[in-house]
Amino acid sequence: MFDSPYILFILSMRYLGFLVSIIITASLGVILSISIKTVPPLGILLDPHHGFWQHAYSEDELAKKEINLKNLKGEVNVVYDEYLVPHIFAENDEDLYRVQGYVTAQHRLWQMEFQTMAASGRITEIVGDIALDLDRMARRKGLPYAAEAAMQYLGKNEPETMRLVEAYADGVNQYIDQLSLARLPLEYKILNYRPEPWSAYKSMLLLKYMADMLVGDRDLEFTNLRNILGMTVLGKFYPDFPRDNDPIIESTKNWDFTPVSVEKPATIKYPNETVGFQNLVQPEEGTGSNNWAVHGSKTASGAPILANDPHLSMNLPSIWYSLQLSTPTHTVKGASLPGALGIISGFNEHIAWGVTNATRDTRDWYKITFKDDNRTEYLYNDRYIQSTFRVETFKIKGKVDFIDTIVYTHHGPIVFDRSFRGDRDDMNYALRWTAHMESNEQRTFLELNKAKNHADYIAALNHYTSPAQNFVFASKSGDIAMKVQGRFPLKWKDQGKFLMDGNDPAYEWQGFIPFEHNPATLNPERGFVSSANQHPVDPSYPYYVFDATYEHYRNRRLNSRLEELENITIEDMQALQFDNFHLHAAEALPVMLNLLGFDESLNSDSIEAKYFTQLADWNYFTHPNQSEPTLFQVWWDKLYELIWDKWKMEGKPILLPNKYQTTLLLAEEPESEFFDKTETSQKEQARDLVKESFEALVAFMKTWEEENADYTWATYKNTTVQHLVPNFKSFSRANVYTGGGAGILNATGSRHGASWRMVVEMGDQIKAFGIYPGGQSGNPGSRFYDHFLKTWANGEYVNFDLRSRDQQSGVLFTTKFKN
Amino acid sequence: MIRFATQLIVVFLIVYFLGGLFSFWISMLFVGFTALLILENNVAAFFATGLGFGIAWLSKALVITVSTASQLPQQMADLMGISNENLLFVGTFLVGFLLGGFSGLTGTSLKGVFQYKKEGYYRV
Repeated sequence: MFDSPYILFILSMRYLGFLVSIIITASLGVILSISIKTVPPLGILLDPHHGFWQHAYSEDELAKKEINLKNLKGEVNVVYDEYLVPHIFAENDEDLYRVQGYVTAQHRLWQMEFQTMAASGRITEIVGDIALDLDRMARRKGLPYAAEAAMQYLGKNEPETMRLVEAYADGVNQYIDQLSLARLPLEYKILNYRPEPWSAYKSMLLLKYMADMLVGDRDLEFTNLRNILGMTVLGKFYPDFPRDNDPIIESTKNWDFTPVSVEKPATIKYPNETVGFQNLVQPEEGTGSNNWAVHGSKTASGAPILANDPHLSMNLPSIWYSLQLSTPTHTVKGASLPGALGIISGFNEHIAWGVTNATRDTRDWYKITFKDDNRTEYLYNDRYIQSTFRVETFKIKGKVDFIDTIVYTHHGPIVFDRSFRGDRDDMNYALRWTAHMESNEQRTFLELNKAKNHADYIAALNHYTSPAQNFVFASKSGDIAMKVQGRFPLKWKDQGKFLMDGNDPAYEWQGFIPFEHNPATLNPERGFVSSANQHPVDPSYPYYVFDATYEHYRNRRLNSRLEELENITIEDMQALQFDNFHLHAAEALPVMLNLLGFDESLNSDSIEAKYFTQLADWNYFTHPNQSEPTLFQVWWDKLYELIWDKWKMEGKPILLPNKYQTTLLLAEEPESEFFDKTETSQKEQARDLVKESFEALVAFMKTWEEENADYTWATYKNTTVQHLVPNFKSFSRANVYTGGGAGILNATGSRHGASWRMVVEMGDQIKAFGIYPGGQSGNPGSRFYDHFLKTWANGEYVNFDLRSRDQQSGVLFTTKFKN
Repeated sequence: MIRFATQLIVVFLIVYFLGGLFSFWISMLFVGFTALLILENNVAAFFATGLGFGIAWLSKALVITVSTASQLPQQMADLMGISNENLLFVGTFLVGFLLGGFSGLTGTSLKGVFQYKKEGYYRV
């Protein structure tokens, strides 16, 4: 029967049917398991057991009472409060940081890894060649090289730090090893990749990532400006010290040390270069911070109060992760950076501390002359010396690898050359940066976490080099202090402001300012210490201090308020962190209105009269429901463009004068030649530009009002807390209803602002409050993803008091870790 | 009809309660195996296993969404350029239906191949 043609046909059809069916089924399974271009693997993503649906659960719904963790020496208890803030109680440091690593990874694994992937120039592995330029930049400026140097230093000189950093890494890795597909963070599923093992090296990378975020330099822009304007105009608009200098360290400070001498070359000759490409990405305007401490003599309770609010890019998952760390010998609480050990800004049972960015030019550029195209030798002190090559391989998702060879000199890596942004074969710019040097910033924070007094605080800071920070301090024993800490190059006046000759040893850094000569103060007479990214000192400080981006407004507002206030309470300090007074507007607007010379009685019903009256009656506060800040901001921006845009040249980056110098020019030299528009035959003055910009304001507002419901400050400013992948818009939070802005104590702009607010009173019973714009969880589906955001936007706080081991109240859940 | 209902319920129970223990690939193998044991008609197997799988996924997604009250489905819909989050439930059902349906179809197709060989053996 088998050889019957009919049966053979039937049989072959059944085989064929099965074959077709299994091919379709297998193909379907494969197609739904892989990402096609930007479409994620839909089978995995939509599978309710393993895909995105699983991320609808919040952490308390997934809580485990007990977790086995290898290598623990004792039992560790983690108590989560109602805000999902973990309080880790361990018997020793190694267990403490092992569990910190595990717990942080539980809530922030994707963020930790993504940030270190960015620092190491590896985003192309996740998103493809769209990130190649970004990745090349990260490697060319030497972030992985710097992290490797830090690792070598730790390996050779810091075994105790290394031991703890490795314990943290072990905690992270044990979490990764236990991770199920269901619990794999959502971003991995959407972008279709998996976490790598964590390592001590990645913790170092994270600290370099922070250095990169906070450090800028404008040497190449100043090089172009010098060529265009000359040194005299440069000195006028970019002075080393502003007229209203209100520095971090009080001006009355007596510098009781003998400074190290600095030799300035007899003749200065800079390379005759015009820079025709964009410099490194600079810290965004608004990146900065406030911190201060008031002495007990100025507070209602008699105890010092410390406040800190670092202004960073506002991201989700939040840059900060709050927790308490306890062993039998110390208890510390505050904000940590996921990926780094300990608390970065916080307090313990004895002291409180906080950080702001100590802006200073610690990055310099050298023009290098190579012997030939091979670039194996370069000129130094008129002799050729060897360069070294570092071959960087970029793995690109869906494409072949990209190789970039980076030449290293003794100054540092050649960032810009013929293969990267350079427009000439002989263009080779080397970067010298303190972040490339050996250091152990991690130790500073480990020691601060345990510090008991001012001496411990100073000892801890002696390990800190980059990014330079202003460390504020207050202790239960009544001291307040401030120290500007970092590794600052010894420079002669103007050294490092422009591109320098890499051949001439006279342009080398002369060494470093000794740490004990860094600006510092303890219990100053005025009863407070403060910093807001302004100039660290007044001109009496015996070393050259320069940066292009010092703050001119927040510092003056802060110091004037701290001078005025007496019997200060915690609530006063919270209100000061949320202070919306716009000092720049208060100084600039009367000048602008006066120059406008508008007579509102001529046509009191006109839209011009309406805006003029609003602005004239403004109280200079920037609350979210006010519309005057919008009018001022638009008008100022239009005026600023009219004054300075004429200096801009295609492809030649420059730095425009800041708003403080611009306001001075408007107020004191309204007939200055700098207001003249070169393209017209008429000779314009400030009043002409003020009038033209007011007309532009009216035109802009007409369009705005047609397209938007209102022009309140919150609507115009559109404060957005953005997911680390900007395309994931629904994981971001836009239109956050809050006031403030750049240059205002509440420095909440569109994308930058107070990333963490903390106020601590160091009395017999320590009282602490904290908040940040986001949440403890990194999972967009969790109720803890953005649970702090509304409280933060309203200027409110949550209780951050230290928690004891036996405290029973306010517990969300507890987890016991044991070997 | 009873076999159809039995097939559907068995697939639902497997996928809903055991689906969390292994990847959807393994679920597909189980579903194909049950189809091989229960049903003979290809069309019936396709729809019974497809519906069982799809309803299990849809039910699980609904239970999670209702029990957590999370905003995540809406956020995911926005991320995927879908205006209505309910389409995500439809999508979850459809993907489950196709995975289950083709797995079941493959199971019964395999059974068909072996069944014919058996008939031939007795006739010789």
